[in-house]
Amino acid sequence: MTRLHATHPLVQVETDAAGTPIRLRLDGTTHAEVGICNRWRVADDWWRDPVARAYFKLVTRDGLLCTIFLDENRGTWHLERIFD
Amino acid sequence: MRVMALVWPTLRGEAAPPKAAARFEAMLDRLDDLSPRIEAVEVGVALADVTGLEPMHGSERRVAARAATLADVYPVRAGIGDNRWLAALAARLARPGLPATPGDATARAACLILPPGEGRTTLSELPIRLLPAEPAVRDRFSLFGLTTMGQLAGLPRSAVAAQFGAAGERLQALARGEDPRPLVPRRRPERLATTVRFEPPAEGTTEITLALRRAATGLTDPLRGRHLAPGRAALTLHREAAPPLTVALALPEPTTEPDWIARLLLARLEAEVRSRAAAAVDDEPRITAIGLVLDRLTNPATRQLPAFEPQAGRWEELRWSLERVSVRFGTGRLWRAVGDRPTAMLPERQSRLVEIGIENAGGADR
Repeated sequence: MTRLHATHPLVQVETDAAGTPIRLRLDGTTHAEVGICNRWRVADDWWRDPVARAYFKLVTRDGLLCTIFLDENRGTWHLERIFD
Repeated sequence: MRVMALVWPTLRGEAAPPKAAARFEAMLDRLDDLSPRIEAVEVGVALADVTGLEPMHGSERRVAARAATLADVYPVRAGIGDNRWLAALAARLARPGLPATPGDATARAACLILPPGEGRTTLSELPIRLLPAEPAVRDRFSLFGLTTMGQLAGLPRSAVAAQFGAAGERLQALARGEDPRPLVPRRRPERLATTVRFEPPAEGTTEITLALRRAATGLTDPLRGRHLAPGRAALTLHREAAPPLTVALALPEPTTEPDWIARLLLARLEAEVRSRAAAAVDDEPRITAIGLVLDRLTNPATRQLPAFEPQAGRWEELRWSLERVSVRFGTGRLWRAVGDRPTAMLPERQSRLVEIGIENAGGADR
């Protein structure tokens, strides 16, 4: 089961020089030692309200498996999905 | 045993009026007052056990007359005999104008009574074609020169069995006036009814709503203990200076939840009143009483609906169940995922959640 956060809450993400997440702060908890499972980009609706997102599916040392993305237009990080 | 057969020719065949089955059931309900054992053979044909009814209703002819009175909407033919075959045959042979039926209601009734123990004697002169035989068997009867029931009845049973088999034996028994088939009485459908009167008459809907909920609770509470639930509900409004207004609805599934029954009935009533109000110019009359009837009682055993199979035709059933859960636990707890654009690039555009429990929901996105 996964929980889709359609409202895309903001998360704090610390990245390395290449822009890859290395630390994640969510609901007041810091999740370190982030491992990247997958990454992909989505660019859509360029003709009206452009969407450009860099997605990361990641797992943390304490077992959190989730999908976050960087809104490249705003420069903010958001949580999209948490896997049980 | 004495059996009375009742046949309503106008309720049978292709010329039967609309809702013939429902009218027939209503007549059977009335006949329950006459005999505790009524069998519905088919629409338009019923059998009643009239054994021992004389002390209560008088002679068998009076019993037949009473039956004709109870079912006076359509012409009826009645026959009384020692078993179901003799009774049915008597009803078939009965002709209007036969004697002595008290009251005008029986004027269109016909009645023939075969005296007890005289079945074989009565049948002996009747034509053999009255037996319920296959055409081929009937042809063989004529080949053997058998034209009356008495001729068939007089043959040795073994000879009949040798020539005509088991079917022939059965027909010979009928020709002798013997029929071991028992009466299979129907179970009278249970029906719960209550009436609430308003003094002074009610004008607003609030009073009616409260009274209806109370009435539904009063009827469904005892049912819950018996593990029964109604499958149909009917509400009648008795109005001041206006004919009664009745709305009935078949529940999507049996339920004992009074609030839900009341809610559905009121919704149906509202629609009915609205449609009538479009044509009427008078003020809505005041309500003097409401009547609630619950029937089609069945065991409301819960069923597991397959959630991941195509729900063609069953979505209504599922929606009904979910709406009931929603009513019980409050709104904002049950949502349905609607896959609008499964191939959309962004997950939040692939599907949306629609709250269950709000009719005609436009869709509350989550």
